Amino acid sequence: MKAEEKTHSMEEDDAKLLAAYRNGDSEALGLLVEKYKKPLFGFIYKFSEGREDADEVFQEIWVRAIKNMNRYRQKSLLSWLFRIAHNLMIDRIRRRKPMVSFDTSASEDGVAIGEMLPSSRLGPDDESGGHALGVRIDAAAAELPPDQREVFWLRMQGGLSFKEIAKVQKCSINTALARMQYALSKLRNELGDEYRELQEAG
Amino acid sequence: MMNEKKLEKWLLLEQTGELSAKKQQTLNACPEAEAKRSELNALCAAVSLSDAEPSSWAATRIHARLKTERRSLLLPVHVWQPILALAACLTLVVTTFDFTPKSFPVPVAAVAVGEADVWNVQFEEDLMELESLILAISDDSFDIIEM
Repeated sequence: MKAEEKTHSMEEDDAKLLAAYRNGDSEALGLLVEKYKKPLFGFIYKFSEGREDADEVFQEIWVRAIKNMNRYRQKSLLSWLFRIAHNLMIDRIRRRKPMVSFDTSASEDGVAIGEMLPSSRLGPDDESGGHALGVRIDAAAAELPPDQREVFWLRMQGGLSFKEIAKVQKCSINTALARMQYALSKLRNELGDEYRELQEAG
Repeated sequence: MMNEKKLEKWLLLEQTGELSAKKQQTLNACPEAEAKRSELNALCAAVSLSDAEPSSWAATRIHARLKTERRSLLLPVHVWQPILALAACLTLVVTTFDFTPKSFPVPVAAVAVGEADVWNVQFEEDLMELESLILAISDDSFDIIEM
């Protein structure tokens, strides 16, 4: 089966499950949540204040998705869920600091919006598990401007294509690609020697 | 020789399977592509991906929240009954009672001065007619004005 056909049948499956849930089959929701929990929750977790907060956001995304099911026009349900996640994050930023745009790199008082977003948290297992470089990348990614940070995690954690990322951020594919390139470039600079070691190992 | 930015861009698109066949051919022929590809892959592989998962009750909680929100939109019968009864009473009152103001006689003072003269002349004529009628049916003649 071709990748395109497979994707198409996945979309059909999602539409069927959504319709089934609408008609009262509560198990259909469980199947959908199970299907997309890993990429979606992993992404949310990078932007939230711990597991409980991520759990709350995760539920809110699904509630919004189901409530606005009639507005679901996108081909991919996962992209749509990420789009809702994107909007929810903007809402959260605005609630914390009114009158600040998501695209703004720094606020008037000089505090970067990235700093207002909670930094990605790694559990003790991650830090003691020998993923030192991973921890450094995570910390460096937390310093990126929000739009670049979002593209980076949408690609890395969410596994979205650049076409899907562009849809989530409502920008062109070239802009999404440029944001990813900026993010990678900043990460390389932040990592310094560790990056050079990585290059040599690679 | 390909520009480094462009090379990285194409490699990123290659990773997601979004690079066109024509560009893929060009990329394959590029001598710097392999080194850059392995560097990019190593960087991506070093990124620590979160294994965190939502709580096992996530779907149940989502379903419960949706049910609660739906229920709050459709208020229970014991809330609707008094509201409907009150609305019915109001409808009855509005349709039964005539709220238009009753027609009162126009006060004399409000009548225009020109019209007052006409009214007085008419009144005197009527009075005189009445007087003559009373005189006609009465045996004893008396001045009606004295009444």
